[in-house]
Amino acid sequence: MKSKLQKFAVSMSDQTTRTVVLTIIMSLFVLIAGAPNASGGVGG
Amino acid sequence: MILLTAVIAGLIVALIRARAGERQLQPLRLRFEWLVVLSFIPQLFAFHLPATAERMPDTLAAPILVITQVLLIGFCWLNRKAPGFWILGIGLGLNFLVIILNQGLMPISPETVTRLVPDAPQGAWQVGERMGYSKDIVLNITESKLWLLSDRLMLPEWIPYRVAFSIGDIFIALGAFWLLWSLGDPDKKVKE
Repeated sequence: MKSKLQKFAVSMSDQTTRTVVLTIIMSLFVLIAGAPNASGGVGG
Repeated sequence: MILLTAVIAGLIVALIRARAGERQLQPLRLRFEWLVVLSFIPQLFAFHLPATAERMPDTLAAPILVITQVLLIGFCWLNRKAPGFWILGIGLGLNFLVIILNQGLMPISPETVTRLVPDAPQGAWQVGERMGYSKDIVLNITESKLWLLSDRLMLPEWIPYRVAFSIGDIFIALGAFWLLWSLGDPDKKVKE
């Protein structure tokens, strides 16, 4: 039983880590792949 | 910032889907993720950090944008079997096409700039030059190549956040949303 719990905990941890990494990678991707312009440092 | 909204929205919807199906998220591992990090570093200095971006000459900013876009297209190709990546690739390709045909920067018309920053001081931007430290170059519509694909769209007036974006950006937002949304897919396991 303890072993199953440990496996479950490891599995959850791995999934969480992978989800966080994927989210960070995709956030960086859209930040540099897209070209939206919010003002670009031009004062207003 | 507007594209990050698609990432956050996709993640939230994926969590809701997974929770509704009493399942866990099925995160996938992308290939060659380091290409994204490698592309991010020069863009950070050229377009995002005001201290360095303001000093970055256009002659350097434009090649940085083009080269990093090529790296990202490669990243999309290498991950083309992952959900949403063909949409991301289309968006990236459309932006790349218009950028490469307009001096390595994304064209934006003076009319759109005026709507975007109506209170900009005199001389803050000029036609034919990069707009501030953005990825955009201010070009008249008649001078822009593939104007339809340029930063010519804006959010409705009732949304307080002002931003100009392209058709390619819409595809990128949709692709990112689709990718994250698929993590909560109840029917099939995401392929790695």
